[in-house]
Amino acid sequence: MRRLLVRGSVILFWVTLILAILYWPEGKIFPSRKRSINVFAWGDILEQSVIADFEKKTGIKVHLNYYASNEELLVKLKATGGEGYDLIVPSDYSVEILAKERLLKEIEKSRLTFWKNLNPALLGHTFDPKNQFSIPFEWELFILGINKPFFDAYGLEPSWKTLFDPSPVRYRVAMINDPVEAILLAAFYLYGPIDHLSAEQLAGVTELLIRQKKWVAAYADFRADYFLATKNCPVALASTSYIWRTMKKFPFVGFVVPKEGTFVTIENLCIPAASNKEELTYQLINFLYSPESMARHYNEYGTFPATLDALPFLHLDPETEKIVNTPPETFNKLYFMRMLTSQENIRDTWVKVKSS
Amino acid sequence: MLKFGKVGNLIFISLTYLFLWVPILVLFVFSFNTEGYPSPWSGFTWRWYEELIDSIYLWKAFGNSLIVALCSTLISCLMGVFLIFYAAQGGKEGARIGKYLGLFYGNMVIPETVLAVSLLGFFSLLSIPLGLATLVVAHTVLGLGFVVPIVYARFLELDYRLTEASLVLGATPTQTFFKVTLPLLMPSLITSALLVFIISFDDFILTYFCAGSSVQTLSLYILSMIRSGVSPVVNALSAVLLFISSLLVMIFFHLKTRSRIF
Amino acid sequence: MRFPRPPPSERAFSIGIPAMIWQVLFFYIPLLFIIVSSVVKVSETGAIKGFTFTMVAHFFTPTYLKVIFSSILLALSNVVICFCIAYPLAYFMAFTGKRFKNTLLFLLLIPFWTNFLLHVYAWFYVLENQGFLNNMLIHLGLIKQPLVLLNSIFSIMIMMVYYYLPFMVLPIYSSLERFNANLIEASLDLGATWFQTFRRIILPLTMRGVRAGFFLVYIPSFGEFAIPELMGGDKQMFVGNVVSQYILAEGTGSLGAAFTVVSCAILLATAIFFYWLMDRYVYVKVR
Repeated sequence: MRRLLVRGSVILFWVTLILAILYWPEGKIFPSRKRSINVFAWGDILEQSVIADFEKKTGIKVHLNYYASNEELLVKLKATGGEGYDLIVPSDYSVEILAKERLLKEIEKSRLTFWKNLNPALLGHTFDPKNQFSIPFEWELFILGINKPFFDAYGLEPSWKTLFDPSPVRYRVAMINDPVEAILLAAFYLYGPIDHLSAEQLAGVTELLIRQKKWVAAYADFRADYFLATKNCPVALASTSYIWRTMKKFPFVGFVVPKEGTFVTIENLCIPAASNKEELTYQLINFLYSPESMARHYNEYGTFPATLDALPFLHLDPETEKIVNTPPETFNKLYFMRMLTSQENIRDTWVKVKSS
Repeated sequence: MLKFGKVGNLIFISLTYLFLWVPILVLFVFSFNTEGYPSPWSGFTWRWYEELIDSIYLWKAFGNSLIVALCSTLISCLMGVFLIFYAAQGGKEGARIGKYLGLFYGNMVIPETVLAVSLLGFFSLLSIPLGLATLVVAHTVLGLGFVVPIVYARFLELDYRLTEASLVLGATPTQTFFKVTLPLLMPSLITSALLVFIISFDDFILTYFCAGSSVQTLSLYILSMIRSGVSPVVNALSAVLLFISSLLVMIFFHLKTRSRIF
Repeated sequence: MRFPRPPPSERAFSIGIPAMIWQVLFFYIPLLFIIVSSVVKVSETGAIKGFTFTMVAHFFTPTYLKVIFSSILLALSNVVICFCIAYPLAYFMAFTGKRFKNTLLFLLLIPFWTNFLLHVYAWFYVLENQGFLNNMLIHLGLIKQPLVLLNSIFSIMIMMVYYYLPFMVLPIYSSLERFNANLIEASLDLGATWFQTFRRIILPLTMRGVRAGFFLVYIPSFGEFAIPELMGGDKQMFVGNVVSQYILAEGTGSLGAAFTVVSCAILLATAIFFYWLMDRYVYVKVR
């Protein structure tokens, strides 16, 4: 009996020790002496040299962490209750979801120095009608990147058909890997702009994606530009930023905006509700919206800036200028990403498509 | 004795090693290529190596991987040795725990993905914040699955007369273990330590699920680079890592007097 | 009051037990948890509502069973190919002279100790349309157009074999190392053909290494998802891909757990089957 007691307490001791180490908040082991903020963003949205300049200028250390999809952001933010991050960069529909979950803090517009410079076409959309929680940072369109000589030679149309239905000309396409977006675009091609998918429509979408699969070279979200550049595929679905990066280096790469209409994504800056470093965060935000910073972001990543005073600093070719200067009315004709059906259905469909 | 005659064997061996080494050599050679994408040779440059030195985030990730690998190797080896020490106590104690050591073979039967998923769920359930600590814990589990089976197997093969002699000559069981048994187990221990270190450093699946978002390790960093395209900075990095691996392997060979592995 | 010194066995227990605790706490309990969470219905607030098999049943549909089956096929073909290459290689290494043996081992271990993702990357460079292999072949005039090698089952298999080969070679080599070469000579002297010797003497006596190699390759290959994603253009879904999709997305965590449990159970069943198969058809017991 005594032996059991002794052994039991030994085990208890070790378990407590192990759990104590695990629960110990990491920040306290190596306390950061300098003032610092944690930023959670896409891997290719904040330029390192801009951040470095900010750090040098203000002495505030910026810890950058990356996510690769909006869902990752949602899952991780929900898991920690928003704690641990002072600035996040969600896409449009994520802002709505996060606001509903009350994970975002209201933006004090009085502390922003650049509000009047923002492109009015980007403000007041359905995901945040009064821009209470989000400031648009950058935007981009979904377009088809093309191999210009190939495109002209075969007389392909600037339409979604080129992506989903390559017959009669036989070529391979690079498709995006995000199930939400893929289903959305397929539904758009088949049924036009709809809000919700019925079971029948979902079956139609699945069939289209399965039919498309034999033309797909790869499902490559972030590598679409690579496939264009290496001439693997003459058509690739990607956001404008990726195509821009490739266009700079390879002149034979071009783009077309499908005539049926396309989707726009706006990346926004938001502050999680649990953050308490607004002093420092607002400094970073104001820094990021300066024209030089915006210009550098465009030059590095090809994303369109949200401010109008940055435009003279970018060196735009005529086609791009037309797009960037889209008036609000035309802008409102573009569509936003949304989830057309439940997560479960989306996952199921995606597995079905990929395993066919 | 050899099956297909000397020539056939040599061809087979050379083809296999060619298969193993061509990609690495190509990677190494093209780290000096001026062109970014995989393309024919267009010129010599040190540019990618310079870029490599400048990428602070990469070195931070490298540091994290190193810390995790070192910690998990250390912890799993220490715990493993002490467990064997406990099992080495003679009599009923040792025999009883010996049966339970079979539990450590479970690591071999469960895919790493399953382990990663269950650990992730476990950590979320207990609201343990994901980070370096959880990574170390996860990798130590991996490590234990190697250290204990390997060292215990070797322990069982040891000549019992040596320990018996030590005990008869008046040493306590503790002294016997640390002065006689442990040195005999050293080769296995070092082998498994090196194995655990490498597996932890290069680990991808466990890290992918259990790292949380504040910790970036080398594997995750390379993954994000590969996913966003191809950059010869990774070539330069692999050349550096290859060099380090070769050093480690040479150390490993230096430590071994015979060519047995376990 | 002086702290009573615990008897030696208790001291040994105190420092020896953490390993056991660790294993149970961080390996078996999480596994148990995931099994439980796949059959338990959880309400919005996290309270347990009851048992349900709907989540598990969700995955016994053709789509998902197909995914599991392709994973098994992938793992099995990987094992077979690796074995066919590894055994002769290990055999050769075990029975050659010392210096050559060390060199071969050295050259085998270095790729083994380099980061796996870098290997993936290296194969991009080799198999790309404008990569090394195609350039060579075009240069030698063997083909006119570059072969499309990447983003296919072929590239997945190549990478799998490439990565898992050392895992198969090392245990078999370890077994062969302890092998008494005189047995082979004796058998040949007594009139058996080489193949008979292999089947009845060499293979059974090295079974321990072969079994270790089998498990070290079969089990992890089943859960692979990075290789199919990166080398296969993410055009096929294997167990690992499905699991990571479900786990890392929102609200589908318990579904992911359920699928993990189902596929793991099927995996174990097949592993036991193959283990039994190996036992049955290789003469291990000496009459």
